[in-house]
Amino acid sequence: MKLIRRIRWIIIAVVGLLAVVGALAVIGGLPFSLPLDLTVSLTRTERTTWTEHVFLRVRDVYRFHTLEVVQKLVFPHDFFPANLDWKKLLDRRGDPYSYLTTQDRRYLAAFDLAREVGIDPRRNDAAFLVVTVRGKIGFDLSDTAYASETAQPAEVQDRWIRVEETEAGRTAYVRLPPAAIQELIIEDPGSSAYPYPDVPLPPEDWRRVSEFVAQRARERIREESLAQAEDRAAEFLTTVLRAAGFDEVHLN
Amino acid sequence: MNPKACAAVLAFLAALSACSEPAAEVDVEGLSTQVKALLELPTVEHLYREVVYIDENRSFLMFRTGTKRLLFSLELRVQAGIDLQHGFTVAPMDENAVAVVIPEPTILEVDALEETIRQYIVEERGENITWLEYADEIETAKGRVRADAIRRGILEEADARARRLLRNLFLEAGFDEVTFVRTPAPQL
Repeated sequence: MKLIRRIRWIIIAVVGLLAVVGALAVIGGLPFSLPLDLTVSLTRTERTTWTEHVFLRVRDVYRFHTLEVVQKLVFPHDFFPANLDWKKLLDRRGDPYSYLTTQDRRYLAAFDLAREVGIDPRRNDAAFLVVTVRGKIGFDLSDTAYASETAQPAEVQDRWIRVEETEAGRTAYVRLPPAAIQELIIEDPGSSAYPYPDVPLPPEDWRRVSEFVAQRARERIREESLAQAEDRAAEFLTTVLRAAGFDEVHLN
Repeated sequence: MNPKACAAVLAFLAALSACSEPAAEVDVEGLSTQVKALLELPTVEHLYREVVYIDENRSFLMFRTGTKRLLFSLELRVQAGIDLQHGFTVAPMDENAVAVVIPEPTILEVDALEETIRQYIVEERGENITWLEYADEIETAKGRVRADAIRRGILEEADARARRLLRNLFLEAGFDEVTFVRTPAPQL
């Protein structure tokens, strides 16, 4: 009788232990692989993926890029100060007699979006996304004579390049459109190129986060970068036209 | 239950937690802004629409413990043009003619357009859909559309448009004749 009771408790203990191990395996909590060579796995994952692409159209692009500004931004933490008193700010938002500055509203916009996608910036263990944004700065030539498929009348050509020949030599006056941010590219890292923790984030939420980050990244690109892009274009065109035989080159 | 058996189980569980790997430290230092010089002439883009479906089921013994289903679409852009930083030179042939040495056209960007994401189905039971799960699928899709764009002739289109840009530049600068020469391949 005692022996039967003992055997019964051993069986209960083993089944209980297997249940605990199985539960840990399901939640991914096992720190090591089971030493048993089980022919039937306790957990199973079946994954099906299916992707298909459709060609939409060809798009003509006539641009001249001379500078790239690469920004790595941490969402949401790069969009407000680290020591921001959220309770105070949220209380002020809830108070109809309180005034919120433009900066306060910007911080709250980042906070609200973060909360909507499941990230609470108030927590020390809050999730985050590191987003790399590349801004290409240069010139859109699509409405200029440079991109024309047919020969342009002289008065149109002179609007973009004018040549003067004097005793001193040949001078070219070259005009380009103003430098501007032509493209903002959000990099899409695969798991092999992203060293930070993964984040629960369906595609729709990723769209909202990437649009927010892109807008803020655009604002952070300074006027100096546009001037730098123009200087680089001037340097390039001067080198090229001098190599072609011009003595002087002036841009814009 | 026998207290000694309970103690043994608890000791075993304690040993399990002691064996667990420490959480990886995240280094977020060194994130900054970089400015890089470019000299590129993008001249054509091919646009694609990609539809992605992911279905994942997890089970323990015979019991389903987690389900994830995701269906979404987005547009991808393949951009081609000329990189003027490598192998571009100009030399006058005479007063009215110029020779332009240009490099081979190249794929400059393959970019997923996040603003075009349309999510149709998202189902999460016991499991969350994570960013990198479908980011990997997008990365794979980029490789496929890049190959497809090349097969459709994007590089030839990019080359023809880049030559037109450069020809117009020199014709407007007063040259009557513009001759294009391909940058020689590097000697191995």
